[in-house]
Amino acid sequence: MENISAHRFTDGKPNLRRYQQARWDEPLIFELSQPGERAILLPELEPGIESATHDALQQLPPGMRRATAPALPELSQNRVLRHYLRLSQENLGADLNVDVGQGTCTMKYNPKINEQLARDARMSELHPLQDESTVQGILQVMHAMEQVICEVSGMDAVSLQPRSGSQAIYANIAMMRAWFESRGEGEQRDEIITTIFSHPSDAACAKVLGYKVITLYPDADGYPDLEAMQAAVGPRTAALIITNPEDTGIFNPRIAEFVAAAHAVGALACYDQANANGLLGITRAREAGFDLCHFNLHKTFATPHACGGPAVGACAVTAELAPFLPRPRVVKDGDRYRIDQGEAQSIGKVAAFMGTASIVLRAYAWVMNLGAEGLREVAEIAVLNNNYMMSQLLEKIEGLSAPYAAGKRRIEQVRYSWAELCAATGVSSGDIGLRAADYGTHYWTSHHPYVVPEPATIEPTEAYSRADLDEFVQIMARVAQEARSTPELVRSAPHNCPTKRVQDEYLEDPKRWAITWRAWQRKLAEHGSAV
Amino acid sequence: MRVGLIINPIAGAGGPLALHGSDAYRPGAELPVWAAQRAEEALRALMVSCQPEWVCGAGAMGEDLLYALGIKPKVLGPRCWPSSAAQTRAIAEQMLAQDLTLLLFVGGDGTARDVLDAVGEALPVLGIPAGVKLQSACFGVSPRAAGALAASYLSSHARVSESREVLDLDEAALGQGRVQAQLYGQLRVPVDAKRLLQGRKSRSEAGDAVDAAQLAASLLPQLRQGLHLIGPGSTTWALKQALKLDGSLIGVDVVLDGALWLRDATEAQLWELARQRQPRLWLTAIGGQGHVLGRGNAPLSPRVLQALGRAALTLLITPRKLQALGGVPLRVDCGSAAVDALYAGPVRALTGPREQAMLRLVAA
Repeated sequence: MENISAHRFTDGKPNLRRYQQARWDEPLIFELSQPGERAILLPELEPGIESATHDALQQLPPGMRRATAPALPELSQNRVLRHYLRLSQENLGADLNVDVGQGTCTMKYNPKINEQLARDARMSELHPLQDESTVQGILQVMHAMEQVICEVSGMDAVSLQPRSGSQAIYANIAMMRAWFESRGEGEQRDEIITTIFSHPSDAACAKVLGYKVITLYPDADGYPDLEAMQAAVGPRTAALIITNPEDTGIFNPRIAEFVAAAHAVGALACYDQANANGLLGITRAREAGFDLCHFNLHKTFATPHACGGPAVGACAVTAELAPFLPRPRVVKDGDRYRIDQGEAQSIGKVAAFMGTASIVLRAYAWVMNLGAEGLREVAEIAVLNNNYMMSQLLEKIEGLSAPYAAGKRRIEQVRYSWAELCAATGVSSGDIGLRAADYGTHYWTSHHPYVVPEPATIEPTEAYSRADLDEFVQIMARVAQEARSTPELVRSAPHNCPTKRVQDEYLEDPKRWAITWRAWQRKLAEHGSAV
Repeated sequence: MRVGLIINPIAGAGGPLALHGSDAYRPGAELPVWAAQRAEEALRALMVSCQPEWVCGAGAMGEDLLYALGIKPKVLGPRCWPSSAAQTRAIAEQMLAQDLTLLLFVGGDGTARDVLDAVGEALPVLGIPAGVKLQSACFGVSPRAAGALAASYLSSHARVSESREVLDLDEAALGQGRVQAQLYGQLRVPVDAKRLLQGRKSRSEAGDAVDAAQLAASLLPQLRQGLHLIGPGSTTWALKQALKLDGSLIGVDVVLDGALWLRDATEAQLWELARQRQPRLWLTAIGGQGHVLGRGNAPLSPRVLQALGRAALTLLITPRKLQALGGVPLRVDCGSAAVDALYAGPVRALTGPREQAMLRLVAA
């Protein structure tokens, strides 16, 4: 019998994995439905209970009651469990593979002890409408986590209410708008400046809130163009909102001058620190002069991304902006904690209740396990891992480059370019990312527009070992080699995954979309098998 | 599925002679091999995944290569040597009746213009780069990439194409070290839908034209009042379309209170206007190379630009055009260093409704 471990490593270095993902011939759950089949049989209601509760449905207004039962799939419990376990085997993810390819997303390990804490009945059975005297524990954790964020950012006050990074950005911009309105400058200041390599939500949220968005492009070295910034600011400028390091992984060494340029015209400066993995314990928003910042707990503080939420985006502001923070807020009175409905100037709620308390608990546990020195070490290892990986990738692979800031080190991620390989072989970055799935990993290219041609954004974080990074480098090197020797193999990938290449042109055609089971049934009835 | 192929056999032959083009190239008895080699690279990349029927020019214009690759094509026109631009145009015209899914041509800017003359935007066309000058936005980045793009387009269900600019460079002037280019027209070029869609945070496939139309719609209230000079190019063309004007794709039009006042204005006419009134100037950059002044808008002479002043300029550029420039700075090269200096520096460009980019205009 072959010795698998002998195949896996040579001289301590991992060898390329031979990989075949699970493939189940699994229908949609609606197609598995059997009329009358049940997961749970509820006991008959006892008369005593019935007389106490009456008919709960009658308490709903008539207009909100369904006339017919919802057409949900009817399945036994074990068939539901098998269905979702099979689907989960046809997936990739941070607990399954070396997930360093989701640069800017920061897929780091979520320690399982923090999951246990969050799922403990003392947390999971809390209800947000409980009296505050019965939730002192979680209020204390939220208050303490606010202090941690203040310490990490240098800011004076924090809200943990937003349920995502984009919502935190939205809240920050809404606070800036409210601040200007309170000074009678709301109408005059209608422009927000950002950079093309800042997170696109910075521009998007500004636009949603009614601002004009002015985007700065990089200078020849890949740094945001300071001269352009100075030319862009004026009496109409409300704020600069900027990521640093940007998505290229390049740290803007003149960031204080950008902030100063905004302040010089009476504008505010807001730091998108969603991903502060290279900064913890090293730099702070306050020292760079910023008025506001935010962190994604699921990027920087190792909580789960949870498939798009619910998460936490923590807003942190200076004392001057504190009255505008979302409400309610946790306040400490002596040794008790209470929920304060907040200041009159508050922008109000951006999410229900206090936000996602269980995520705050996970993040707090992570921070308390590490301590201040541990947080700094997280940043140092994330930066070390990234620069090790960059040197390995660029040394071992022909046709891959790291545009801009040549010869300089990067912070926690790098936006690479396959432009050279693509010109020589016609194989695109998207093709390479899909072929990587045949070796058990994958990567993401970049936000649009592709300013870096044929981009790939890799972010190792502190969570991966050197062997993990070597394995990823080896996969990239093999795929690049295949792009030259057998380009069609790469262009038609993936081959070892449950889903083959998707004809994604269909995704551009709303007529073909079926995003619900009911829509699918309707289109099937209208168009038959031509759908 | 039928694909057309037209090779300009002398494409690229002028390059080594520093002729800045092959119009002045005088072919000898021996056939140059450059264009045929480039064509072969592209076709091999295409035929990895696609086996279409072929329609081609006679002899060196496609037939010889396809036979060498073991393919029996339908052949148009007579064999003749040396070939000529007229012959390229004649074969391209015959291609219109061949029920083609895609027309491939092998050459440079000159060949692109000949193809454009014959087929306009009636057929999707893709250039395999083999010429000396490749300024037009209708070529693959390499022969192999062109082949791969063609294969991807042919095997795609969506077959997305978009209009791209073809330039007309004055070869005589180029020989003397001056670049004088006009926008010549537009070809319909395949877009790699798969590549556009990668990453799932993508733009709409309709892309550039939709972006330009949205931008134009947001500017209508401003354009319906006052005097405006609207330059050539596909992005500014959207302004002329939004105003429902019978404007010029390749010239500077004068618009007064939303109505077309002068189509394709001359330098003298613009000079009069610039001196006596205060029109606003709307320009875009040329796709792929980034020239804002000095390519395609010759009537905007140094004296006109001087009289208009920098404050009159509003620059429009779609996100995709900006992306295609890949960080190339925008250039001004109007023929006067002093006026170029006047326009150089950071500039606010409109990229969409309530969206602007701070870009840099650099004196060429």
